[in-house]
Amino acid sequence: MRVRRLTLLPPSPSVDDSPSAAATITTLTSERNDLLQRVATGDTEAFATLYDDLSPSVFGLIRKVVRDPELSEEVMQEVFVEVWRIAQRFDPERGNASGWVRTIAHRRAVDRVRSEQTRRNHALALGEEPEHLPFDENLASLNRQVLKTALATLSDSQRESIELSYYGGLPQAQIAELLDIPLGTVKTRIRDGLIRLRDVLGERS
Amino acid sequence: MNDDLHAYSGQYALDSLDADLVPLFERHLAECAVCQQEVDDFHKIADVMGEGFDSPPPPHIRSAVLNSIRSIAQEPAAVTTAEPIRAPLALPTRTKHRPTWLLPLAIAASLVLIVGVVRNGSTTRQVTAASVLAAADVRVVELQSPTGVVSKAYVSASKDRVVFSSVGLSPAPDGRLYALWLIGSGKPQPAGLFQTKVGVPTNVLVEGKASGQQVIAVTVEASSGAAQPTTDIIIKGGL
Repeated sequence: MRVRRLTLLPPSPSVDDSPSAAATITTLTSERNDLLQRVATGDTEAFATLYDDLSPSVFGLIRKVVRDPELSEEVMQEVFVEVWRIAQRFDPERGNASGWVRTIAHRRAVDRVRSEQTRRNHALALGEEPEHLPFDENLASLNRQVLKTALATLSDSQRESIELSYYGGLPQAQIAELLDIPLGTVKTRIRDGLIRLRDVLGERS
Repeated sequence: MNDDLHAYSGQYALDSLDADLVPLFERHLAECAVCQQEVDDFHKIADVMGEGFDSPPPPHIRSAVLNSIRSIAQEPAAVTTAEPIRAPLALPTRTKHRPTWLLPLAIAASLVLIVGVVRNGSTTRQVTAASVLAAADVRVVELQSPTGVVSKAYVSASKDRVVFSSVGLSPAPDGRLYALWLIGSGKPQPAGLFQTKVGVPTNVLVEGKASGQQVIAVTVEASSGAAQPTTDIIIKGGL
């Protein structure tokens, strides 16, 4: 098996990106890392600044996964309290602050979705169309825009398995049911799809 | 079986692996370099998937969060930079399932918690190693250590506690643990047990108050602990 290291961050500007825009992104990344490291020393002002900076993207992701506005607000609070609590574990050598916080947010969101399964089963049974937050290209990094294109190259069941897993937080049995595929193939669709995404994204770096 | 487990790397990286399969996969992950690489890469993809859905939260969340953190203690970074096995990312621990590669961190963290919490019996404003390290009046004392080991004691008078910190101390043999001792005017007082992990710095909140103590020392003892040192002191220093 070919093993290649995938490097996505920091964002590598393409030819038409102005140098100043690239510089801004880099500055933001390092400023956020600094902020989070200040949070780790118990600095509540740094925490407030970090909250103001990251809360729209974090809340957006939580809304995307949890969907219910009230539950999303609860998860949002849990996430930032956890960020405060475990800020010392953040290691800028191994990730950037916004990704680190979003990782916490996604896990908390999925945990919440799963503990609310009965409710969601109900919603799905009713054929309720889940709220779909619009994806705003202006807010996304170059990586995200490339990923959007890359997702379109997957087979339908690969892409849908990945999206239902990540954005829906659904267990594999539900994905199998929704996509009408055998239970045992869900994991393979997801992994194959991700390998394909890695290859597409890897080609540009 | 392993082929089967291997296929779960994608679901695992997307936080969507069914709860009952997580421990199974994590045991496999700890030993499978290919899966570690995949989880690492897939995790980066997942993170990018999470971008671009900005939605400002209602303002009351901000004040609720800022209020609540004032009464919430921060956890010490039991593990700072070093990682015994190649780990995916600086992942925060999950409430339910801790990846196996975070086990050293979990062990270290729980040691710190055991040391810090059991004696206090309070869950609200516990003194943590972090709060001692972050105290305004913290002072550092270099301790005499074996060659290749750097040990320090961080003493805060305001917290009245000591944090023992060490790098390069080999793990104690099976069935044994390192024992901390605080020595004041009387006999050495047991001040907690800890284990180390290769390549991982140790930060332990020492049991007992800092005031009145003159010396901190470390010995190797049975993992059940000891009432007084039974082996030679390997690290020591005046506080």
